Amino acid sequence: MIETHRWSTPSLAAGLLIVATAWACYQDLEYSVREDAAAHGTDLQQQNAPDSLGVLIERLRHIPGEFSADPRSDPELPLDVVRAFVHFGHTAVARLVDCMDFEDPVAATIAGEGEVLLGFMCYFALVRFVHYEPTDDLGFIDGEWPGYLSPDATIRELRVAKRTWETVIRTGSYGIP
Amino acid sequence: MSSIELNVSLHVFSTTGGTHSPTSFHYHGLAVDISRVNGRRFWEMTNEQAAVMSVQLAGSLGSFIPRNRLAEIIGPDISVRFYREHWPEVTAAQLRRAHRSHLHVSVLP
Repeated sequence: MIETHRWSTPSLAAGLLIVATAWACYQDLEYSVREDAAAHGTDLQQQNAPDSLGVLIERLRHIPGEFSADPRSDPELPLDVVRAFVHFGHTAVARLVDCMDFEDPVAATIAGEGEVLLGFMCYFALVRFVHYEPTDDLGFIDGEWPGYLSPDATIRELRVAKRTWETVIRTGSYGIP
Repeated sequence: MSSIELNVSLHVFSTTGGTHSPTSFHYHGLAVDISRVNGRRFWEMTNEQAAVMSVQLAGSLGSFIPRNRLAEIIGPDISVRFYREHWPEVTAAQLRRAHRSHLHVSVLP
């Protein structure tokens, strides 16, 4: 019993030393990762973005609801999805524009019958948080701008809108309020 | 625009600066885009909330602007322009969807 006691004290001390060292290393590691993230936040964000944005776009496919002539009754985008897109900022904008010509039908419909394409849902998510205002020669908002889409947008209209938004991205002429 | 008193806190996302088209009323100090009301962003609101807020705000702001100077009010549930031909319904709906993130108010010089 005495011997055991004699040996257990140094063992306990050594154990504590090992635990303390390991904890210190962990703290250093965690700190350096945090520092790295702070210094290269955008890079890390972009590295994580592709998978996460893919998941978010996949969720757009399954959002239920019906579109009509009145946007007030449009399907509701889950706020966590919108927040996530906003979190990814310009990376999300580029990705949503990229999927604006996706032709797969989604769960949402037009009045319960008409087909809505994923490309429109990407546009729908994009304009939820992105600010862009095209104007005509007189300075009024341009109602004929080809970047606008309706839920019944054809594949051709989706492609034209995508090209138009690509120019908006290239010129950096949009904002995220 | 002249200063007006409203009992709400508004965040003006864009006035004369920003990234508007070269012809925009914004560059002449004749337009504002409001993106937050009492700290809450339009994109954070449900469709219904954004619709109600945009209409109420449009009514409040519009009442301070001389009728002969109002040019456009476009937001999540409103899309009107004055002294020009009204937009077709499809276009008006597209504009409301495209302005889901803010309320645009412009006036004539």
